[in-house]
Amino acid sequence: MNILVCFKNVPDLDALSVNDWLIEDHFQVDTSYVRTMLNPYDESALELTLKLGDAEKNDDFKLTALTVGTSHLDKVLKTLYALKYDLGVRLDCKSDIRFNPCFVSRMICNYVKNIKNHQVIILGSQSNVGDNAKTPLLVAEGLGIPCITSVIGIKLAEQKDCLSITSKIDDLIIEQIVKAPFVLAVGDVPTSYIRVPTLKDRIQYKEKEIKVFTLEDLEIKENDVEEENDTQLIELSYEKNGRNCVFIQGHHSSEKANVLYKEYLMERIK
Amino acid sequence: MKTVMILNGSVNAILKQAEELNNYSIKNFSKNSLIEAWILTDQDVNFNTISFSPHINCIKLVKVRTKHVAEEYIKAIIMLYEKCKPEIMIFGSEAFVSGLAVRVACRLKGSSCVGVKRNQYLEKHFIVEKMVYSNNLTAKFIMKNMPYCISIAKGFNHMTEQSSITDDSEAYQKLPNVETVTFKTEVDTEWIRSFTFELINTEEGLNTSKVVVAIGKGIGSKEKVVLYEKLAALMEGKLGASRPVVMNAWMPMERLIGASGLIIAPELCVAIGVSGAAAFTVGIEKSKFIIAINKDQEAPIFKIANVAICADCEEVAQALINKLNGRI
Repeated sequence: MNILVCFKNVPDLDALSVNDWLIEDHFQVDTSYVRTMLNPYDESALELTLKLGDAEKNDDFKLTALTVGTSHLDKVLKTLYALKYDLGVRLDCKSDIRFNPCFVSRMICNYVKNIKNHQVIILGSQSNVGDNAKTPLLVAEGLGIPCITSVIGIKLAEQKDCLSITSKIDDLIIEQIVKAPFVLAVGDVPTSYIRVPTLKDRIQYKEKEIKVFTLEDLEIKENDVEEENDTQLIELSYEKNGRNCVFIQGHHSSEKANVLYKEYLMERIK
Repeated sequence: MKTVMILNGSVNAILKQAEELNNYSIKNFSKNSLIEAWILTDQDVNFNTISFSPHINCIKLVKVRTKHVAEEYIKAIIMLYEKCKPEIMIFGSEAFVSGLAVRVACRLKGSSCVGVKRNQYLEKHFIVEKMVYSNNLTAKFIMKNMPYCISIAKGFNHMTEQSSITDDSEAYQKLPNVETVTFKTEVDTEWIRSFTFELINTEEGLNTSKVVVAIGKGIGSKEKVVLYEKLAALMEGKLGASRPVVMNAWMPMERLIGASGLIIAPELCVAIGVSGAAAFTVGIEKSKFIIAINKDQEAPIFKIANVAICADCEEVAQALINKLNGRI
């Protein structure tokens, strides 16, 4: 089975303080000084797929990790090599695609259609910055294949080219054996933090080549970036309606708790 | 503009969906606007239990075969679209239905947007507003192509603005005319070799409790959760958690509060050991009164709190438990 996992590296926005949220020209927000990390949903997708690989002994089982962006992402792909992803792919793109999932999904679809077909395509449901929550759905539509959303579990199935998928709709848990091809949008999966590679594997895979494809390789024109988008950003703003917080003072925790109980809590929990 | 709202009748949460969509329509459409409701369902719907806002002039009921095959729902919606040609299609906030919004728009060459808080029609443009950058920034978008397919943001079941008529039963009309529409909605499901369903035993009441204790990673470890369960119980409240807590499996996913979990609006929320990331605070900011307890003086949670204690969480919780025990 040939599995493609698409991921995004995102800034840790929790690290920004109130004064850091400055909207610059072209609705840009400088987040370059905070650390980047795997988008949490994508991280779950990458780890769930690695677990599949742990369980599958068949040599035909191949994992590809794909991302869209510039060369600074190559170090993340190298880490995924060290975790035993078979192929790391970067679709080279310097354009502002924060709010353009239509374009991102077209790049992924063209990669699958024109360069390398995959039976299963796995993506996180949503990622920060754009918070578009559209890419996996548009990839499924672009490829004309089914899509399962809010996926919380992926296991091997006995039948050929099939996987066992657990997903959620409201208060329903659905377990399905499904035959590829299909797209999975991974939701909230507990304890799915990605594993850490060994130093030995990091060194071993340091030089392994990342496959880079340009827009031209994907038969996409640069001008298509904005044309492709079905929405247009016209305003970006920061507004927080905070409350005037009263800090309770005291020499120690129990003294503060005492004040909290008497002055604020007691009347509210009668 | 001809508008429809689309509900998934195949799940028990149809009541919540209707409440959310009613509140959204009341907030975003004028009193004179007429909106159709389309209900897609694989089961019988008890209309006596569902309230519809005064905007709803007609209900169209479409039977589908499955609860979970999105492709079938998409086909049904598109067939209904071809018959009625609405310009605006509003979907609920749950991931399955918001996925339908995106895929229907794609097939109809329209535009889609997920997590919409507000919409307006201005100078021939349909403009939507949503949170981006992990709930830190608000963005406005022009939707370029009709039909405009939007899924609404979570939390419309807890409207605090005066425009909400959630509790005003007189403002709701009698059941609008229900028309059953029959289509051949079958799609190829050969790719699904087998399936089973299980109903999740969700913790009752976190969404409606008057008192909620919300814990974050700052409580330290899974073993400490029991202390906060006790604190919540003594206050006759419910215990919820931030994303890091459930992702570490300290508590079940059903207790998650925030952008990817529940949006709550209790009378009192006590946030303990929660840093206050925007994706969490969006889940509690509608609370009437917020108490924050955290040992980090700079924690952003204090900015949305009414009262705060900067101290060790466990010590404060234990002291509060002692006080509450003494009360009994």
